[in-house]
Amino acid sequence: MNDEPPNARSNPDHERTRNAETDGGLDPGIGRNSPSEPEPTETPPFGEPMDVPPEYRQEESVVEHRSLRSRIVRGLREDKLALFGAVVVVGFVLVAVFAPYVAPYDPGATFGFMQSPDSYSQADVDGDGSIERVWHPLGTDSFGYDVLSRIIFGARVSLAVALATVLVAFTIGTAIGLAAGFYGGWIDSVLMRYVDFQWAFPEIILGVAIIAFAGGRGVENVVIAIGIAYIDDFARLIRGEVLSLREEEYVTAARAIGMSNRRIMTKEILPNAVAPLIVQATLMIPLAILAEAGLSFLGLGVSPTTPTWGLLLSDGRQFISRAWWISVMPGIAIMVVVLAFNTLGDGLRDIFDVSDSEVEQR
Amino acid sequence: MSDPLLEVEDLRTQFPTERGVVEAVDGVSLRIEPGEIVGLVGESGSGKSVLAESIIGIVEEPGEIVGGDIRLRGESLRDKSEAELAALRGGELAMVFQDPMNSLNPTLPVGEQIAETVRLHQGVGESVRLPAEVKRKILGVAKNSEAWRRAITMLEAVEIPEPESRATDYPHQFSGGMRQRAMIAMALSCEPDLLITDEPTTALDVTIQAQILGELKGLKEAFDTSILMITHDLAVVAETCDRVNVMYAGEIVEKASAQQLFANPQHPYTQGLLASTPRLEDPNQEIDPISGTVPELIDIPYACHFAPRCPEAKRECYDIEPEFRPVGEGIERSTEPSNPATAAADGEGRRGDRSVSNTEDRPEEHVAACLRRGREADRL
Amino acid sequence: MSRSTDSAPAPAETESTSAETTASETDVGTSASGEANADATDAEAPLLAARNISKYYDQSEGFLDDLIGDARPVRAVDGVDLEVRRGETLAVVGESGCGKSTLGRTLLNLESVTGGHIEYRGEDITGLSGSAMQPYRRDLQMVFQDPLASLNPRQTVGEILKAPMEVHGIGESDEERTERVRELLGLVGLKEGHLDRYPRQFSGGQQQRVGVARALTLSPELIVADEPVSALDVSVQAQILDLLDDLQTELDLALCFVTHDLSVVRHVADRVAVMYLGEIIETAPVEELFANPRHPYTKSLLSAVPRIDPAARTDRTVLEGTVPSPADPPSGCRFHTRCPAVIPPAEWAGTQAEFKSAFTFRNRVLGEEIDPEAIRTRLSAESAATDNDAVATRITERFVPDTDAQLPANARKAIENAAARLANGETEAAKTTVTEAFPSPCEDETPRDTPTEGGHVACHRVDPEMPGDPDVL
Repeated sequence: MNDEPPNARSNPDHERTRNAETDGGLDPGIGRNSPSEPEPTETPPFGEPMDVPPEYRQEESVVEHRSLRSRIVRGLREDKLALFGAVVVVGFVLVAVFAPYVAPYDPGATFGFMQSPDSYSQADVDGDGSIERVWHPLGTDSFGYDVLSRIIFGARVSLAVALATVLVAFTIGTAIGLAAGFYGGWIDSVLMRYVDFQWAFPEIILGVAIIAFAGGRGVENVVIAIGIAYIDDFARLIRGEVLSLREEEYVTAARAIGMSNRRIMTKEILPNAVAPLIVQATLMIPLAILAEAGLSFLGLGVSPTTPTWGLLLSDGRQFISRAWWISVMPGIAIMVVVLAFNTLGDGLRDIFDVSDSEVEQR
Repeated sequence: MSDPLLEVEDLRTQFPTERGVVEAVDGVSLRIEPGEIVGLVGESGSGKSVLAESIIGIVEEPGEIVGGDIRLRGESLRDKSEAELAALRGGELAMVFQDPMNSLNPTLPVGEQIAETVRLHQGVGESVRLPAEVKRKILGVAKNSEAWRRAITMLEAVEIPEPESRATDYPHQFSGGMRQRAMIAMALSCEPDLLITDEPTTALDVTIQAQILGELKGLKEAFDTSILMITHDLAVVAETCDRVNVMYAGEIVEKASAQQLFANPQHPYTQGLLASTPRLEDPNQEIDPISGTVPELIDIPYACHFAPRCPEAKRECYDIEPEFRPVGEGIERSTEPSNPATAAADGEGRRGDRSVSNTEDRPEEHVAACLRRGREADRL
Repeated sequence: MSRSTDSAPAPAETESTSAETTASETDVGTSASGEANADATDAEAPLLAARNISKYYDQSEGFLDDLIGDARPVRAVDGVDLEVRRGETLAVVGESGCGKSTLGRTLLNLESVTGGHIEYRGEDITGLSGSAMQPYRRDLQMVFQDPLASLNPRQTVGEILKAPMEVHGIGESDEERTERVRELLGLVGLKEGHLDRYPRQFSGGQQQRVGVARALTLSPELIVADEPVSALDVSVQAQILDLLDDLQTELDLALCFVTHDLSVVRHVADRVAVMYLGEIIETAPVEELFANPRHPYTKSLLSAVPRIDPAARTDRTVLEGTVPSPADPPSGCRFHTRCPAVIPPAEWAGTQAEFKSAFTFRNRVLGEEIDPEAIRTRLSAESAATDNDAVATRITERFVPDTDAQLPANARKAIENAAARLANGETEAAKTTVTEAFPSPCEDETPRDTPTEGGHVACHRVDPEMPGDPDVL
């Protein structure tokens, strides 16, 4: 379309030398290239302008575009505490995924019961009939299970439940918040009244109620129960974001080109609200871990036999005076992973420069 | 000619960044005589605001003045400590910014903020003992104090109607124009020798702009203040200023009286700027843009910063640092020849001192920093 | 932008236009020459027309606000008639808060109107919802003031420019659309290599070029440009103005150019509409408006613009006071509170300047701008007498502009009377006094649109049926 005929004020070399701030080197009047418009007649008094001499040409330097991922990587490199949190989180996840290879013993294998940490027992671990001397770095519990192995396998369930829970809350909460914030009016009123209603209930009580309603324990029910209990946090957050993003001029621009509401929500608004959502999700995971532990502690956990951190904690409580490690060791695991997620979340918040008020932290 | 009020000589202010050192002010010299309104015109990215910040000593970290000198009544400001500078600001030097809302404290009544300035800098009629200080913090400046009365007088001087009651209002209760007036009142409350205004009317409507510019001129007389007016708007400069400095990419490229500059602009940048400014008075004007935009001020390798955008640029423009030469109608009167020895025909001395000598920098003269302008131009 | 001064003058009253259009449509069916006739009128028929449109913003947030708070709606646009014709540039000028940006958005159905109709090529598009409006969006586009804010920071220029085509199903494949985007980039003076860049990686001028390119993707008939150059530097501003000018000529675009900058208006517009407090107070062809402004507001606006050429400077008409709140606009002519040419009552014995002086005092009393207690405090600080008489004297000294002006005796007396009442704390009585002493026809009746050379003016002074000499300023 625009073949850029040689023009007194614009030639390719001339343009290349300008840096990022150049205005595209623009031929100030593009339409002048059309045959109907004469070329500008002015001639500079000193003849043709000089191209920028080669030795003065500069590389065009463009401001770097930082994608979300590159911002995270860069930010973590600078924020050592957050990086530490991230490493611990990744470590726990890896341990959970590879639990069968990492755990010293099968979580169902029994040894001498209530052995203190750093003790040994005699057992046939590899099933070859011979009795070996086995080490229990964190001791054994009241059933004779190895506490370390139980904690490692418990990480699987606890982390998986937490992630699934946050995913449920994230999805539903985002949908609610997006619709409420974008449409406003009665949709907003109805959805947000529901969120307020839910907000007024303590999570754990709501969780208990939902599990009771859903017909008892089980992984799905726990995930749904805790997930639903956290919807309000995401819904409020995203609604606030949407309310401000809705007023952005690029959203008006999208409406001006006739974009549908759905596309505006998913393509224009949501991508710009992702950063606070990621922060919120990171900060919600430890809460979900704690909630799951709480439900297990109350006997409403995944199942009475599947090891989860909450269940381990709960099982040990009656022996706390005689065998403190049964409860304390999973407690420490919970504490470490919660702290790790929190430092990571705080770090991400700083990286994205999301203000505290935007992400509700409780 | 009296001594200049303010002399800036070969000032350099730089900002280290990840991508290199930004030379925001790159060897700028200018002077302001007592009682003058001097304009500093440039587009965004020309370094004009940084120049102002350098003069009053509030360059933001990590920016730093790395060379040159600033003298107020012959006294170097660069030798002064931070505390001495702070005492000068608001006293002998005052500044008004573009957005008054950012410069006014939203939690204090306007009158109190002015009174506070007065008290801080002049210590009028107020006890500085601790109990008095605490009482003031809690109850505000006493309404019968001298500082408060001064605040009222100042608000009246900038034509805020009903200053007594408006003084107790908070900034958000003021309209944009009134806020800017309040800022001017605050700046003038200590009768500064020099008032620096950075885009004082850019955020305002034309009718309000007209009022405020008119008032500024009157206030200049009433308070015997010099004004350095920083703006991008040539028409504002044309209407208000006695002399004008045109700034481009960290350097001043042309200085002249307002009359000479607009009647007979010499530097190609000034000419380009004038050609691209739509004029209300000229219906047949062809708007003629300058191509490109202001370069980033990092390691500009070429001597004349305008060269790549200049329709007249030749090879020499990239090699030889242009220096100020008398141009236009001033040529005949200028007896001292400019100093061709430093023109560095061999291509060296690109960072040469642009200030030349003071004799050449007389306010009535019209000088431009362009190889193609002035007496020596034809040798190229 | 192209100055088509030969275009037919604007019909003075919108009713007459629609009457003409209807008439010509009837012709099509009945006469043999109907087709040519229709073509001729088609050229004059407005592309986009606003018929008495209003946009009010409700300030109340619920019934409690309705009960206690200040719940009057803000009348951002209030009864505006406007027409944009094919290929012309109509500039809408006004100061901040006059409703010009709201008007621009309302024209494109980006804001729903509170009242009135918007017609595109004679079809009523008022209040059309998303999908019903979609076909019209192809023809009606917008360029925004802040180029960076109007571009999604998480999308590349390619994605931004392809979106309109995807939405409207233009182009068979992604490659085809990318090809078209390349063309567009060339058209607005950007390079193909810019396709994968993000908005922040451009300079302001380039960002605005992207904004213009986006508006062009759908080959519109009309673009509403809301302050498209006010965020840009002078030299870059000129580049964008040039670009718009060239594009308009090349693509036969109509432009509705919303701006506060009268100097820009003079260079881009064919016709100008001047807005004040939500109303259009004057429209005229550009040359006519600048050479012969009729409305006092237009005159003072023009006089306030700084000029480079000293010879072109005129005496400035400084407007008193600030713009009144659009939630509570003045009665009658909305400009009467600030108007330098406010019409004196028939029995007024003094000059116009004297009346303006008295009228300003009146408005200050009515606006409760005068605080007698503050004056008393001030007097006491000056150790002067603080009795009511002293306060009243000070009020007249300070609040009647041009006190040297010799007001007619009865006017002087009324002012003193009102001042005394103020000093006495009888604010309402003082208000009554000034209202009775200084009435003006301008506050009673809303001025009619009086036809002028190619436009119309809403000012009593111009209206031949109302009192007042039109050439007083």
